[in-house]
Amino acid sequence: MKKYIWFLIILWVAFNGVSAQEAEVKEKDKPVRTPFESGYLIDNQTTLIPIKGTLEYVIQHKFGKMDKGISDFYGIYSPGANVRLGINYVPVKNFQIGIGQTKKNMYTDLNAKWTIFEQTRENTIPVAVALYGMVAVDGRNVSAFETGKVVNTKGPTLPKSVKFDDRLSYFSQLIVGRKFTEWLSLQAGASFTHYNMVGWDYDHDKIGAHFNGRIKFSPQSSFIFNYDVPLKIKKISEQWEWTDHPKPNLAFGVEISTSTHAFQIYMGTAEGIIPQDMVMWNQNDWKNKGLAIGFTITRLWNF
Amino acid sequence: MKTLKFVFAALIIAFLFTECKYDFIVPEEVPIIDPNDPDAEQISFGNQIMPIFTTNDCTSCHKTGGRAPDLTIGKAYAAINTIKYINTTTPEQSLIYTMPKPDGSHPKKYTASQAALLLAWIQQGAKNN
Repeated sequence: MKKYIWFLIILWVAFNGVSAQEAEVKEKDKPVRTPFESGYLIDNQTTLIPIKGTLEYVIQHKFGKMDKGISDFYGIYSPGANVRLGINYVPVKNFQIGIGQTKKNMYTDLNAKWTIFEQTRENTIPVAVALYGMVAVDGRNVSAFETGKVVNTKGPTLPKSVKFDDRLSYFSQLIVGRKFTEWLSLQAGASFTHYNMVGWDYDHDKIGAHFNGRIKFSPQSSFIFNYDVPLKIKKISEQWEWTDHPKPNLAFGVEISTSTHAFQIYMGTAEGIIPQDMVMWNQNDWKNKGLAIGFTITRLWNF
Repeated sequence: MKTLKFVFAALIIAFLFTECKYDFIVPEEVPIIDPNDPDAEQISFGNQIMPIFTTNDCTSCHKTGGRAPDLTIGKAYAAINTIKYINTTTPEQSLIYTMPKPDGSHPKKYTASQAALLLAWIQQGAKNN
């Protein structure tokens, strides 16, 4: 018993010593430099937020599928293309707000990102943690929604016409990232997606798992990749069986960056650009010629 | 810090006014038209088929000077009334039906009821009525 008490006291003193050291270091410890080159990674977000007062303009474009080969030049001439134009601003340190427009489903989106912790150089905070949220409005004409009527249960209820809040969809994500070495940064995330209105045989909620990263091969160039998996969770599903369960989004490409630009060219599966659309509706399968060429360009201004 | 608080307060208020809904879109009923029934209602090209092309925005690409066939009002019938697009002997193989039907290869698609209407119109002889 005596030995045990002694052991506990030694342990307590030892740990106290360690935490006291940590507290001293914490005052000097700064965030790591550029865990990622841009706030965007293909069509996902990174934990990076530019410095306060930065305005960011982003162009995200995806061509049609490559499955027809040379006849439409691997999707370049294909009509199934999608594009998003967005503007982001950083009003306070580590907090960013943004708006954007997407061609597919005529989405208009509002988004916000908050980096709660930044990874520090002395490892007092080993990972960066960020929250990302997006609300999007489906702006299509009412004729795009079959009869233009909705019901809130599948039972015998009176159909109501589509209202503004039926068009809303939400996406929220927790991102944890770490810059392991100068050339390797990895991120993992979990997300929740909700659509206020879906077709007859679809779910309103979907939980997604995200994994992405960059491998730097020269001071300005990196290999980037991204994998988003919509999870099959019976508890939140409203269907009896999985008919059109969305396919995972796999994308990989190259990033070339300067201090105010990031240029990313990639091949990926999802046709959607905003995250809730990718998690909810992607039916392109990379195993079955589902890849398409795309690019993301960002430009930063500081005021 | 004050601005941060303000931004968060604004976001929380914004979220209070929106609520999660669980609505389903009521699907369209596909009309059943029997091609062998001589008393069946004749489908009108001008009143029932033309609106499919205009409301689906087909004419944003398929316009005069654009991609063939030209589906604008006044030119659509002449453009599609060829052996390439309409097959009256086996209507199910008509290109104007097979490509944009809901499981077809065209990037924009007819709804199920629009496809059924178009097929029935070809089965009735694809008349310019």
